[in-house]
Amino acid sequence: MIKVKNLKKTYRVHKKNPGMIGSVRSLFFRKWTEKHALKGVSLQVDEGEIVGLVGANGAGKTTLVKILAGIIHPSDGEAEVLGFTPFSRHTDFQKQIALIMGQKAQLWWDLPASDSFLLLREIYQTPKKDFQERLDYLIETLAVRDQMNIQIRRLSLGERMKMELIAALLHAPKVVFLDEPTIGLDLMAQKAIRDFILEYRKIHNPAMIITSHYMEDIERLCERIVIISEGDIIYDGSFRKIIMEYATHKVITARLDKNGAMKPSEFPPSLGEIIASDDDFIRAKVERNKVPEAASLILQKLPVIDLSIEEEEISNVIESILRKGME
Amino acid sequence: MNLSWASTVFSSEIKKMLSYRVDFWLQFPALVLIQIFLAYFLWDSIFESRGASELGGYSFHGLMLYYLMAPLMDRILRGVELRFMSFDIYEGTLSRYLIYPVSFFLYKYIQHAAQSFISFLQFAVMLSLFAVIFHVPEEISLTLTSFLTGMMILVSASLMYFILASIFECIAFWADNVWSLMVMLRLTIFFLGGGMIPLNFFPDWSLEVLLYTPFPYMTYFPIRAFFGYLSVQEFYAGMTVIGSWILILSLSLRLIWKRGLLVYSGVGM
Repeated sequence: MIKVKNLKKTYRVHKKNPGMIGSVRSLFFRKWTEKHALKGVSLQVDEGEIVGLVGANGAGKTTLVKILAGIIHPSDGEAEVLGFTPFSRHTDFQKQIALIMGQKAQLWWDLPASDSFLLLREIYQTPKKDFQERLDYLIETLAVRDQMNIQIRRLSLGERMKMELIAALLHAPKVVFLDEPTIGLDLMAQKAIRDFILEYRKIHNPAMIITSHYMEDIERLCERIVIISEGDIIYDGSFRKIIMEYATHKVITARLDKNGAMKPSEFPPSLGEIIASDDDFIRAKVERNKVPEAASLILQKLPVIDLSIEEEEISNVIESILRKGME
Repeated sequence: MNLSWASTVFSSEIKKMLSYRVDFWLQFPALVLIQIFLAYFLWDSIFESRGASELGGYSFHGLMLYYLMAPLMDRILRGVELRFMSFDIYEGTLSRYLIYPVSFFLYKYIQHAAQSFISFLQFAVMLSLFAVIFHVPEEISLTLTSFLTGMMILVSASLMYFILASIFECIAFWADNVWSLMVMLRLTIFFLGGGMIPLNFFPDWSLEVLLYTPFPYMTYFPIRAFFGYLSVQEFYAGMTVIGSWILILSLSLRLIWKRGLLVYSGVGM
């Protein structure tokens, strides 16, 4: 559904020296610099796949999404979405895609959501019956019926984001781009949106690309992740595989009875690093191959009430991949 | 092409405009009245010093009607504040329109037309009030023909202005700010379009030259049409110039838009 081959995007950015002299000088002599946002990205996303695009700020994630949605023109390379070249913005292409931007309102601020949805029905020429069925389903699933007749500008961020999701999905797109869909939302709203995206995928089976800085979004939604660093893809593979290949440590957490023989501070440094500890609690980051030894030591020496062994935080794993990628 | 969405955009825009009641009932009418007062005192002293009952083909009464119509005409012409187009480019909200399966300019033009329609209602109300309170000047023949020719010129000029202003707005793809350019455009229209003084007070040669530019057709020409001052030949000549400018400006806008999109980065997203 989405095919990208050697895609490049270079922005020409105007540079100005600070201060008044710099401003006056820039009136006559402009300095330009080239910023390579994408340096030759290749990618393929199939129907029903949810791909998480991960990377630091300015890595090129949003640029890639904007190119695939037909908003900006690539400098070089090929992009094909549903058989169309996105930038030609063919009506049949536009009717089958959706872009949701968490940081940018797309609905009309002065109109209540219900009016915006009616306008979108006209714009996408969605048959009335389909429109009503989908709208009822989306309203119920996201629990926003009471907010339907309130101006968008008067809704909370979470409510607005839900309305943005409804607006983007009313025409049942085959390709969905979600750029930071849960940014700034509270935990409840984040979960509601994630659950909804999974539910939507189950019914409509679209290809989805998600960018997010919240690792929980990626962890819960994506089977596959693509890590972008400075305009290059440095990892493209399954989410599970990245843990197996790159998560070099595990985290052991033990809840303790306060009257143990060994204090958490006495944990041998050779086994791992203590991330947090208290009189009744210890959390240690331990190399994968030393987990049995460390767990056994904790069980023997400490008055353990409860013990758990978990994978390292995915954000740490990705951070280390990004660091390696940038070195 | 299905345009059913256009009527929804049109009605939404009307609803939005009517919700700004202060502007509809007070702000704009007050602005028009201030302009008329200024014109009244200026032209009163000119007529008195010249001791004339008619200047440039207008009686004092007729000139006051001209100065009532000029700002109303300007308002109809301008419709929506097109600066929102450059905001869309700066703020990245243009991206929304690039995703929807509708033409950006058609969408904006419908918004523009809706606001022009509201301004036309104000125009009708204020003209009716003028006619009831001060009566229509004797030299002016308001007929159905003059009304229809005036409307045709006004609608065409409004489209011409929309395209011209859109070109200026699209400079936002390259320039950091187009506000000053838009102010220059408006001042040019005000002066060369006849908003400041009717163009028949200009030297004949300059009026002849001006009639080949888009500006007189934005204020002076439609007012003359409403007053019944236009001959059939003048009407056809004027419509030909307007049509030619619409064509030239449309082609230029198309070119600028295509080039602009190549450098658009959707910043602010």
